[in-house]
Amino acid sequence: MGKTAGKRILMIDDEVTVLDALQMILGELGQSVDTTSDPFEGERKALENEYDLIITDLRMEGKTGDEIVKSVLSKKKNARILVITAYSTEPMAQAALKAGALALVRKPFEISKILSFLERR
Amino acid sequence: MSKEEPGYIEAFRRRTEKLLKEVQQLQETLAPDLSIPNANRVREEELSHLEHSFFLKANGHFDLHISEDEMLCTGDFYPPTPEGAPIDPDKVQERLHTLGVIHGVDRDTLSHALLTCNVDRKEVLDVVIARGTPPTPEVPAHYVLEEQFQEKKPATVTEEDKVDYRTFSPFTIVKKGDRLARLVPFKPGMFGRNIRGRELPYPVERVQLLVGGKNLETREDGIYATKDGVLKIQDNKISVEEILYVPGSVDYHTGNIDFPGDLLIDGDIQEGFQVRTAGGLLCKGTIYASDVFCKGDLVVHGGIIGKGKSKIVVEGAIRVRFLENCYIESKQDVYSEVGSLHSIVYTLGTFRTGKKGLVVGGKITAQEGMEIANIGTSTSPKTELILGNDYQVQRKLELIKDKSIEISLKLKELDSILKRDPENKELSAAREALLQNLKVLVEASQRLIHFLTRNENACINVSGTIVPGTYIEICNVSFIVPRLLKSVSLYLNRKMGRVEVRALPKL
Repeated sequence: MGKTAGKRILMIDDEVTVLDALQMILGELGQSVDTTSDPFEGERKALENEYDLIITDLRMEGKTGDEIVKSVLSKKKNARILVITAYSTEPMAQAALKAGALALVRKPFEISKILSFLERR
Repeated sequence: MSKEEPGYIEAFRRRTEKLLKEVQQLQETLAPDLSIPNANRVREEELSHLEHSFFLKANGHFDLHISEDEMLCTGDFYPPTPEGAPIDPDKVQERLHTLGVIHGVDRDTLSHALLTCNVDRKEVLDVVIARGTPPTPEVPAHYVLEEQFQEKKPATVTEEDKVDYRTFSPFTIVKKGDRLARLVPFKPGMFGRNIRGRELPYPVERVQLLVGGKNLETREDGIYATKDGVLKIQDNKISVEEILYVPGSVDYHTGNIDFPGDLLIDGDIQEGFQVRTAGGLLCKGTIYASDVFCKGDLVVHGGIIGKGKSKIVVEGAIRVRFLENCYIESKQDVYSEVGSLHSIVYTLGTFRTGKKGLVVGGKITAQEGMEIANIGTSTSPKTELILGNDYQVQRKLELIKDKSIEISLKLKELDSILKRDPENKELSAAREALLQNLKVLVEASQRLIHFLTRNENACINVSGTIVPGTYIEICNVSFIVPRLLKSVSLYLNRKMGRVEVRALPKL
């Protein structure tokens, strides 16, 4: 079990395969992972619950990752949000960073980076 | 008389001589005046010295002392005054006899002391003239650990003078045939004797009585390991454990591990450490950016997080929960429950994932085929899947190709120099050697190419989806997935020489 075991993570991504894999991996490393492929549900969960880290995809049907970042941080200033994206240079990614996201993480996985953000908590 | 007047120096000399004479006379007459008032201040020893040295007539004399344990007899010998009689050696013998000193008398030392005292007129104090013989302890036959197994291997000092604590290991690794302990044979005890002749019993030396346990063989000269393993010493019992059990993680507490048997790690392998095992390896945690070289199977209950710098080389099969950003080589099957994320995997067997497994990014080379649930995501980087080839042969061919190119470039360079300097024999010889080597490499690659393609029946079964853009190569025949495919098998149609897709039979 890793040094980051026992942390609560919310994962928002409309690609179910990615969610499943990440949930299994982070679960294996001792984290409690909440997942949803619906960005609206993700936003609601993020606002209603306490998470050590929120990880959201950028491009999703209905609501984009940068919108979730803006919305959550406007109500919960201490929320820590990572944005996963395939292209870090796209405007939406930059907008998410500007809105207060901690960092961009390579799509779909960069476990060590996620773990390092959990360790810093 | 002033100092400047003539005759002053002569007068001074005379006065001095007179004074010296008076002092001499005073010394000679000093002895009877010992009762003068300040004599009380003279210490007894000084008085004795004066008596012996100058003024009194005294005979040589001596004192003998016996130590409490009766193992030593020492003597103090005082010389006679010029008028006194020397020490009579017979008197010394007589005194020794009276004191009961009959063993270990050192006659030479005694004679020398008497000579020094009687002839040279010097005191000889505290000289050992008889010494008892201590008993020799009995040493039971026993085994002692060989030195190299007693001390832990020190940590390595790097070129920058830093101690690399990862190289420190608390485990003592032994090889089959190593002599772990040598036999110290029985040594009988011997009675001692004090200077009065009394026999002294000998003690029995206390030794650690090591007993040989598991995986050891006792021979005439010692205890030998019959298996590779880790040395264990418990309650004087030594044994060799074939399995090294690490109760926690591989970290600075354990250092790097190089074990000749099977290894069981209860925790993780922390970043930057190296683990080598000649047997299997079971890691109950996760491998973080570490190098692992394993001759048996590798089972990781967690996963492998490589950070792009982990190298895992395994001769057996691999079974893990997930692979992420790592480099894997296996001569047998590789199974990853969750899948492989941005990893490079080479296997001479099959590559398989669990029912929800996902392969994203990276490159998987599997000689015997693949069974994967999902391949790629809509936004993920390209995934490369290579089947049917022996990756070891492929790697050798690539190496040959690289070297051949290097030689060709060198030849080109040489040719242009030789054009200007055609008589240069040294360069001509070098050119000849390069050509010869190139020929050897070409021949080798021609031979190897026959072993590259091993399994034309290798196929990929995808139970879930495979995204467009995925690159597939079966026995060097390439195929790029044109659209999202679900529940398919991709195989090589040998007659047509192309990769084709067919639906997976429904279960």
